[in-house]
Amino acid sequence: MNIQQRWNEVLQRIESWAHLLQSWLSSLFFFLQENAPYFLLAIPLCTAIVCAVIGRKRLMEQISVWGSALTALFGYFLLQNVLTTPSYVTIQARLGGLLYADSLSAYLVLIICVLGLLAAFYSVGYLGHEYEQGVFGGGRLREYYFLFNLFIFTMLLAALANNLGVLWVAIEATTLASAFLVGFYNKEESLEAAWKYLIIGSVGITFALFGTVLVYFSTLDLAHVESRSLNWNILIQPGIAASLDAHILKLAFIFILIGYGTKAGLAPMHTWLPDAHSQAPTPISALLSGVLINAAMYGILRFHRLLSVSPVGPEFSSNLLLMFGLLSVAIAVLFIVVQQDYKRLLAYSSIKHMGLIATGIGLGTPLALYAALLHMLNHALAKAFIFMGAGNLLLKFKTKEMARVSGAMKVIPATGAFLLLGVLAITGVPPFNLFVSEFLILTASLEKEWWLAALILLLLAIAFAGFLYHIGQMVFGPSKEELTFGEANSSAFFPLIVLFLLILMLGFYIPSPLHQLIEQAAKVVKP
Amino acid sequence: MFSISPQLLDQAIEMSAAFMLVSSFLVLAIKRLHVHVRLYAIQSLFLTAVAVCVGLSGEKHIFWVAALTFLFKVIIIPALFARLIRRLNIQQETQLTLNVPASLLIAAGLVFGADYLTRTILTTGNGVELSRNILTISIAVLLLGLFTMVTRKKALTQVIGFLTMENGLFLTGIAIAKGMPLLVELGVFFDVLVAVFIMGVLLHRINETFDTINVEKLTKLKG
Amino acid sequence: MDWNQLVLRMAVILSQLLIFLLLAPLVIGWARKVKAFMTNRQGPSLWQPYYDLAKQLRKEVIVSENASWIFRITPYIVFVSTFSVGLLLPFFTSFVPLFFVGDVIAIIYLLAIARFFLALAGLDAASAFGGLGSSREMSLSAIIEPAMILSLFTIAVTAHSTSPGVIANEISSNPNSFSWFAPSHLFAFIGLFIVALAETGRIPVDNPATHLELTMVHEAMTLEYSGRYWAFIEWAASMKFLVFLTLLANLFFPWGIVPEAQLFSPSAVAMGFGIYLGKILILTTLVAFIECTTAKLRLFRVPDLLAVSFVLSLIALVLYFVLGGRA
Repeated sequence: MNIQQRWNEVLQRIESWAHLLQSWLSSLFFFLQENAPYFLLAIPLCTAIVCAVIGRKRLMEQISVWGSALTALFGYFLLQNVLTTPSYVTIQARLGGLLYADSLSAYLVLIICVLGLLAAFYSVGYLGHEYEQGVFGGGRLREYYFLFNLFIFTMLLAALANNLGVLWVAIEATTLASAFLVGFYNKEESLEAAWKYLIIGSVGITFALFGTVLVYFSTLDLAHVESRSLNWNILIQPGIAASLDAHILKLAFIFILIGYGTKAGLAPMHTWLPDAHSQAPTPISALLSGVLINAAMYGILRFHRLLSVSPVGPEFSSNLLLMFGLLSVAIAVLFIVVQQDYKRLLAYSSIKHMGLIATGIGLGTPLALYAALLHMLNHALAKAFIFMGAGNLLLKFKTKEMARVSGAMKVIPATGAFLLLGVLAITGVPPFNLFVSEFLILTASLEKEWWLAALILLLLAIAFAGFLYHIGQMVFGPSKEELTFGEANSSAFFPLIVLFLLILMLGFYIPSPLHQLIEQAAKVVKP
Repeated sequence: MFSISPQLLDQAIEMSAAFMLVSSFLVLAIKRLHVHVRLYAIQSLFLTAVAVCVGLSGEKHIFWVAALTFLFKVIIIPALFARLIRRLNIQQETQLTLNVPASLLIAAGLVFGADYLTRTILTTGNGVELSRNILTISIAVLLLGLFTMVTRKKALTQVIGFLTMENGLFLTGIAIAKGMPLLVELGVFFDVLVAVFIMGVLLHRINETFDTINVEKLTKLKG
Repeated sequence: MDWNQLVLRMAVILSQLLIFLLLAPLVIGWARKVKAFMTNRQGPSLWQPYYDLAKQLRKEVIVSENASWIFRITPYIVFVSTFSVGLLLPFFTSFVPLFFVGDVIAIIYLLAIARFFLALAGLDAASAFGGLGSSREMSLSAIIEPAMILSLFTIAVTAHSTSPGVIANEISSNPNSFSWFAPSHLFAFIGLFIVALAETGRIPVDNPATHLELTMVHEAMTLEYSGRYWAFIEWAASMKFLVFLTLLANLFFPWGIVPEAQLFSPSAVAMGFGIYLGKILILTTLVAFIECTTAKLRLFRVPDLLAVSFVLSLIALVLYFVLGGRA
């Protein structure tokens, strides 16, 4: 009997501990979910500081990758929170109104986290290989990882900002954090690219700040002192938005579009983009092309919504976006055809896709908005995929000129195959994901004007031909004798395969949480 | 506190804004680099004066902005530049893509353009007549800063042009919008300071690699 | 009109002319004294220009063999045209003797006649220096003239008249005491100041004390003159300097000027003259100060300086209209 009693006691005690543990875990979980934004911001920042302090290669690599994974985890928590809250708006006005997360923010956070993690993973192999080859010295690696994590932090801050001034500070901070990353190799071309990036980016940002100040100025007429703010969630309230001055808002939007449009790579302010994206180290190029220009477009979207609910109405900003979008696509396609450097080729492709996104937003129908937002994710994934393939090519052939690269299939068959698949993906061939979003944008443009769809289709076809020609030249053909068979960077295949699976999956099937998220995000842009 | 007539304050704000415009012109007219830095310091000094006048007319929190402007833009940033010029050990004059009289005339045209812009956009009085005038001057200073960046070939002068644009923007922020929330102002100041610092380091690296800071030499990336 | 008043008016006009004539060399002497003081010298006496003029008037005139009648007649034309400007300007009163004859445009043209003949005379003596000076003077004047006209027109627009006396009256009697603090006024002042430096041949445009061929403009044209011809031309040059100083003082800071109503009270006139003298001397000190602290510009840089003056006046004009039509 003693044993029986004691056994029951032990069982009970274990049960109570288990209950305790369970409640403790669930409250922890809840706490983490509720405060995900703070963690999202704190983790990359801490990772950056830790990497700056510790200079050892292996430690920094591990910390970066695990830090990015942790950030992605909190990104997931944020997503959960946003999707399960009834009005799809959560974490309103934390930190005195500075932070805010709705479905649009959560969507951008998703893109940043996924690509950040994959880029961190890719950096390990890529930069490790270059370091061993002696392309740069010891302390530079520490600089790289510090700036890399800082860059992720600033983009997350931009996604979670509520106050339009904080949004501006975050986007300017992305320029500053990535300036040295662009000029990382310290060669003549890198410095030139970094200088152009910094100067043109800063000029654009100054215009954007002017637009922000003008928006603040337009709120000064309002009666209540509390509503004279730069907080987005206050500004879009119907009572307040409808009483802002239309003329000032129009002038403000022009400045904002030019300003943030410079960062987003819209023509004719795009001239820094080919230089910066081609000269930066490949993982940074992937981040710049996939995430940063999306973050800048996110800024434009916030102002687009503000203008839609103000007396100006949605037509003004939609028409401007449509114009800039079409111009970007046209100019980018022109330059794609005559390119000689394959990383610049990919950069111009980014401009083209950004133009498509702007066109989608400019068309304004719910279908077009959904397609444009989906395109943001699809382009980010596909561009990262093809950039990583190109990075492997660069490591092997050590040149960026397409004329000097040939026979990749013979020397590095895996990368060659991935490059070919990447070209098909990035030019919108089914069954890859970009086909879906481009098709939807074209459908939406048919509803508006048929010649619009015809023009876009023509330009996309030209781009497809140009791309296939250029990459085909590099992948097929005779190889040079002195190159040995075998990949330079084998650890790169993990992110490459992950991305390939993602872009394939999204071409067939969009998971329903993602679908919900994008739908809600489209409603944020146009209610 | 003794009361100053608002008319006098308005006049003082207009005068200071006008002097800011003149210093932007002088940057276009004079070719020596350290004079550009001094002109920037003088322009920021007038900006501080505008901030003080706006503060005296009732908005107390602007005094913080005035103090920050004075500390950063009149003292710290020009000192950074002076040190940079000494260490870069470069030729003291900037090269131009347009000669001085032509640039000055185009700059005058830009001032007209700014006036036209504000006339057509701000058709309503929207409060004070002062607003439209100051808005014109600040858009003009913005455009002149941009023009300086485009037509002057020394990278340092391009940075001065960028900072002039920021000054024009701050003029709007202080005189018209009566200053933004303090946290945002702090963030903006910090950003500008870091931007200048990064530009300085980049200039240093450019000077080491190219042996000049003439941006005409930075033309390898084309197409 | 009253006989008394007529006589008093004539007296005022004559005294104005005499002051104009006799004050000019004093202003030059003062400028030289200030420059000497700034360079730690004692310098020539304040009345030295008078002694020079008196000496030269008595001396013999040497004329080159190649010179024509233009050479002989130019000193008189230059002297008379510059002197007649004195009848078109307000000095210590806003009553301008020949106000019905001309305004600032007439002043500009009278000075242009003087310059034209001086340039011809420089060529006339068939010496290399003379031709050099003439060509430089004419090319500089091509850029100075627009800047000068624009500065004067800017101030004329704000006062709605081109007559200097009316302008001075408008500004000094304006009840809004802060109108002189207007940006457009100050910019037009800077513009006209730069033009004054250029027109009267001061550093940084031309060195009035040099005889090096690299740096001469005005001196080169007058190099061949001697005796009373030289005296007249130098006197005319100093009168031109005084004309510009008077324009600067009375168009931009006309307080203390005696209005026409108070013309006949001796105390007002005396005080007006005193204030006028003070303003002139302050401006002369400013010019001398700038001469001492600036280096002379190379000839092809002078257009840059005058472009600054031109554009400053242009901005002044724009600011006048932008800032709501308030001066």
